Amino acid sequence: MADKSTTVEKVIDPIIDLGNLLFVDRDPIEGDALENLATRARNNTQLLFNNIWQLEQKRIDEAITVALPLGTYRIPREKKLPEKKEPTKWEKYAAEKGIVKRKKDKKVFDEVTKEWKPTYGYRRANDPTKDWVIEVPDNAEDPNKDYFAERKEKKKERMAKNEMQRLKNLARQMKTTVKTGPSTEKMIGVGVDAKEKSKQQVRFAVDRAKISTASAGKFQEGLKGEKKNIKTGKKRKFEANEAPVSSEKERSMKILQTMKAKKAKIIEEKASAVAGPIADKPKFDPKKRKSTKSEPTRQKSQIHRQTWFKNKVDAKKKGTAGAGKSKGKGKK
Amino acid sequence: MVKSKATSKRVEKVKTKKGKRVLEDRASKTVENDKKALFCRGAKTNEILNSAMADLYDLKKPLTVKMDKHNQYHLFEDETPVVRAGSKFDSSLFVLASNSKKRPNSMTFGRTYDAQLLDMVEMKIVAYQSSSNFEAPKQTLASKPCVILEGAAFESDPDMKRVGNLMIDWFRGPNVDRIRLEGLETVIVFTAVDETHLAMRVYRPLLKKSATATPRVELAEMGPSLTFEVLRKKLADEMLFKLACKKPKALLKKRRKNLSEDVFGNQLARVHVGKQRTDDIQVRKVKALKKTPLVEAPPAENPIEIDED
Repeated sequence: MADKSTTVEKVIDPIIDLGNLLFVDRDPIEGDALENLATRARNNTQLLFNNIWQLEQKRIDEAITVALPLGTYRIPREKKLPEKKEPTKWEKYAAEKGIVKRKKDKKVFDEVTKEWKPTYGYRRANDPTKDWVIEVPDNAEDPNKDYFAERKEKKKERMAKNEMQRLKNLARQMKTTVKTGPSTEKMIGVGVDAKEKSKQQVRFAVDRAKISTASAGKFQEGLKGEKKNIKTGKKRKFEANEAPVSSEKERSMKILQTMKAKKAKIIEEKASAVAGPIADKPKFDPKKRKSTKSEPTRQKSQIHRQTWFKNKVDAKKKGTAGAGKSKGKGKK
Repeated sequence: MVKSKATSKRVEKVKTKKGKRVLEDRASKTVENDKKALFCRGAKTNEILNSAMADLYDLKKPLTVKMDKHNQYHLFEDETPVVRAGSKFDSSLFVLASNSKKRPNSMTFGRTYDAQLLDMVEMKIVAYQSSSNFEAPKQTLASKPCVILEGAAFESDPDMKRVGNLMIDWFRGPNVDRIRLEGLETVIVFTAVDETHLAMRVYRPLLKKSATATPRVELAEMGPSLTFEVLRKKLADEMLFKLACKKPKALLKKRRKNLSEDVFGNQLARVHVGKQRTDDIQVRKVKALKKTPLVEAPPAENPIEIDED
């Protein structure tokens, strides 16, 4: 006859964390720990299960479930605590004015094609870029102006402005400033441009060139009134082998401080490369429009994709499956 | 290891929606994702290690990432490669198996916090039985195991206590708020034999009828069965560990003022009622209650009505 009792006695109260289904037995093990592993495990499991069965039960789809409480055992996190995000300028303003974000529908009904189409993105409804005609306003200064190009230009400017605002918000969050203008970051592997060299740098270059002969510059004549080669080689200096630890510690602390104080830089030129430059763009000339090749040309593959998609949609309307040519046609 | 706070923010715009989702998934959160485990092969492995790794992998699936090629990692000399791999695959737990003449059949279990090493312990497999040697049916995928720790060393020895914590962290499975009683399919038992030896056994509980409402539990060993000897360890100091254990404020229960509970579980509270301004309270408007001016006003062309509320 098998034992049917469910009670287990413990000398010291065990730690039971039902959130993690964890049981920590604090009783000392008598005798060899590797013996009676199974019996001890059974007893502990029994005690844990007794506790689990005490929890509130609920039947969900033929299965009896219990709600687990939050875990209490101290387990380290995986990542740092999330930092509080500083609101963007718009978010601040919106909160002040009580403006609430309204969600738009993902699809809208397009009156022209009588179809439901995406509100935004590819093949969207009411796409202004797909207009084939723009009405010239009555009070137009120059009726020959290319309104299509103007529209594109404006869009690009809006994008650039938005990008700049995003960067500014980011900089505010990081507590730095956006660096505008050309990048002053040193390019790796590229020397200083001759025009930008300092007097000393030029001097060093000349000196180096002079001694770079087969005879190490021995027979090089100087120019009239030229100073003699100044020695530029820097002697390396080493720390004393035996020095008090305090100075070393101080030095490393100094390095640490400089590293800590470093802030991330936002270089507008690099980051906003996506949106493209705002200011220095060639002024639009309507006569030149067709000759400029800077405009993106539609790739052949793109056209194929569109026709393929159109065929697919058409086929769906007709009720035949698959896009393009249907293979089953011949058999009929 | 000092990381600038600001560098954690990215300046570049995310280009695709999918990329954005991935980054959001990996970002630090108040309620974190389940920790994933990286299974990594060391410079050399043997059959025992490969088999043991496969068994542990099955136990840990699907919260796993596998690096199946041999890696020349020597973690106690330089732990950075495995930490880097962990942050690449977004998995903060790792195990590295390596076999060498000096340290045969060793497995290094570890975990990271904020892309830096937290704890790491190297253990030699002393005895091993693969889970295929046991007849009990294996657990279903992604079921949450029960973890049991026993042995005085987990209490008395601070290092062993941390190792126990690491093992719980490693094997506790996904975070769930509700569990099916029949779904309790795995029991992982860690026994601290002494300060340096650790036994790991995996059982399947079988629920039998009993006299009470809770069933009688019997266990069938499911495997793998491993006995380890702790070799080297690198455990986080108390400061870092405390920092890693910090709980977000949003999850902490806010203590309510003037509220207490007695032994019977009744809530006792002190309530403050503000001063009642009986003069200002709106009551029924009856003519009799109207205040009459003390001195009768002279009859004017536009009599001023005084409405006393």
